[in-house]
Amino acid sequence: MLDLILSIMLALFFLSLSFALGRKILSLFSFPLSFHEHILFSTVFGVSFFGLIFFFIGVFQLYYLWFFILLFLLLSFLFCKDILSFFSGMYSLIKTLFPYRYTSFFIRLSFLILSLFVLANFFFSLTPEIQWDSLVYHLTQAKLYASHHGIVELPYDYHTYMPKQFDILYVLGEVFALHQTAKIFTFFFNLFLMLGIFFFVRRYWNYDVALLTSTLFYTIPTLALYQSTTYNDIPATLFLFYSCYSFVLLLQTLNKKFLLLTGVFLGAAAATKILLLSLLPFFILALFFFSLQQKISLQNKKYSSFSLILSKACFFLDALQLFLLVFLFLSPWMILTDTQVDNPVYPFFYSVLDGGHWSASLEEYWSTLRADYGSGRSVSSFFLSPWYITMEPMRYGPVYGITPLFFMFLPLFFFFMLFSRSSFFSSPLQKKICFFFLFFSLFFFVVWFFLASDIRYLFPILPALTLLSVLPFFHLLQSSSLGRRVIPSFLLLLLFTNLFFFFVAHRNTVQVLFSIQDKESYIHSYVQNYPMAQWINAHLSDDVLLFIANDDRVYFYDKPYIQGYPIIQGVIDYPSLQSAFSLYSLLLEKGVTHVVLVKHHATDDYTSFEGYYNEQITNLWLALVTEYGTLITVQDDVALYTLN
Amino acid sequence: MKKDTLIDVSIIFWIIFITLLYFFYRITDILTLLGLI
Repeated sequence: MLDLILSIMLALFFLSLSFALGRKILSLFSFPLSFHEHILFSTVFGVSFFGLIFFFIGVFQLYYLWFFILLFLLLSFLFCKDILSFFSGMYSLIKTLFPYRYTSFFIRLSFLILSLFVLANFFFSLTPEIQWDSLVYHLTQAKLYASHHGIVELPYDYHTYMPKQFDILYVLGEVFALHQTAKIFTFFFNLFLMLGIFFFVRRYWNYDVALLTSTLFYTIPTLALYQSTTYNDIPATLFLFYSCYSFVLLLQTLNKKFLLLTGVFLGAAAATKILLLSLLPFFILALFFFSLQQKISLQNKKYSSFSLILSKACFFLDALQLFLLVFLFLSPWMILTDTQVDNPVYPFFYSVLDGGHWSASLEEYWSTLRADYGSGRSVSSFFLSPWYITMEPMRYGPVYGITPLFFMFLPLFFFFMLFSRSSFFSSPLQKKICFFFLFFSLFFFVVWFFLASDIRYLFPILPALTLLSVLPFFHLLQSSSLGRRVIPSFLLLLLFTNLFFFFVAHRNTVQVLFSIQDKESYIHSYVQNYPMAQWINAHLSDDVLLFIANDDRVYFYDKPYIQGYPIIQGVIDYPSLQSAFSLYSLLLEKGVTHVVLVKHHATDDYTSFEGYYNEQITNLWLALVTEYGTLITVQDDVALYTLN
Repeated sequence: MKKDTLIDVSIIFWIIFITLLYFFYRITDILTLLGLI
């Protein structure tokens, strides 16, 4: 219990420190933002900047407890006023979210559901992490960096070579030995996405539209599932949303300072999830389009030809500025990866850029896997994908899906835009924002469909799509008496369905929260190797080196290990190993003393690993342990052998 | 029927249709997940 309280305090302190740091830096540029926007932008900027600071601390091998305490003491001393003002600022910010006196019953109920989700997610963030990718690399790499006291090369998982502006912050909890901090911090930080959406929509529309948009966004089942987990999809979406927010502010105010923020946040988003770098061309195109529009308005006002030439030159300067800012955040990670494996975007573009610890067969395996992801890559499946995402989300990820909201209201958005009786947009700026979001979503959807069609990777456009879906709903409320009576009940029904799906997804988490199930058995029900990891941590000395053959979720092992999981690493190149003896000599060369083998992986369905992880590799492991190993113990079908 | 009312009715029909279709499609998945069917 004390651990949890300390973790919450550490997470909140770090968030307030980020705010203070962000505020100090942003105050140098004096952005014309409202009081609440200042808090939001400062915190998000501070967190992204801390990602960069953590990178340099890691590169200089200073992940020590004493160093962090010193750094935090120094920063607290410097920014003590700002740190305290964060909490009063947040109080006033959250108060703005509350419904006022004349808010309708429907909006009040939406607010209640939103509060329930936020509260539930806070409690779920106090439970142990069991999500797959977190235990494979998000948390595992942070734990390894903390134990090595710096950023070191971790060649047994290709994910560790990717930019990790947000993931690197998980080191904080590991250094302080408060493992829950990562989850709690992510939960608090993810709230800034919901708050950002609220204040953005409130700025250009009104309270009702803003609250409904943030509620519908926050309660999308798959998104709600990841709100309190240490994945980086929602933080990346958050950075991207703030980038869009800054871009819209740029359009509104024509203040070039906002271009700085657009670039910085887009850079942070790309350095959190490299896929989002694909949006840089879109932003440059949007900049070009809007500068062209501005040029036309200049022409209409009969400006001199000199100012027109100047505006053209300005576009190139702006685009260059955006490009440089994005790479300001991205380049440290790329340079680091390049020094390690000679490929800045490892493991992508292997055939062109090469790179160590990877092979053509692994490249082929992953490209085949990506090609079959989702509903395939044909033209028909592209047009059918909205249907599949809504109705058959299992093709793309968790069974909980993304609600029929988009399927219902997006067609109506186009309908109203074209055939509306009363005006659909009350200002030209609203129209501009909607068009920007529309093309933004379309651009990213195409990228998503061809490159990575997992439902998690679609998160970046969900805030925009939710806003576009909520607008026709409010238009119906205003213009149709029939709609006013019927449609709110349908939306409430959907919100309650989201709530139902949310608790179905967290049915076991609720049990561990109320101590119906103990933590150990809860983790074990998701992670098969947990008892073995505990056994090894308790019984083996620190001078062992484990070879974890066929398991990728290695977070719980405290002893030194190397991984042999075939599809995430190329250090042990299985196709080149002819016999068990060659694997045995390779492991001896690396100093391996023990082998951990999940025994019944052999009966798994190989078709999902076709082409790379196959029966030959399993037979190789089995031959290794029968010929050169001695069995020590078996814990829930996971066996531990010593190498002779 | 007036044109406006016709549009209203078709929009509401569209929303009801999608909602029912969604429930029909998705609830079975969730119930299967829970082991209830």
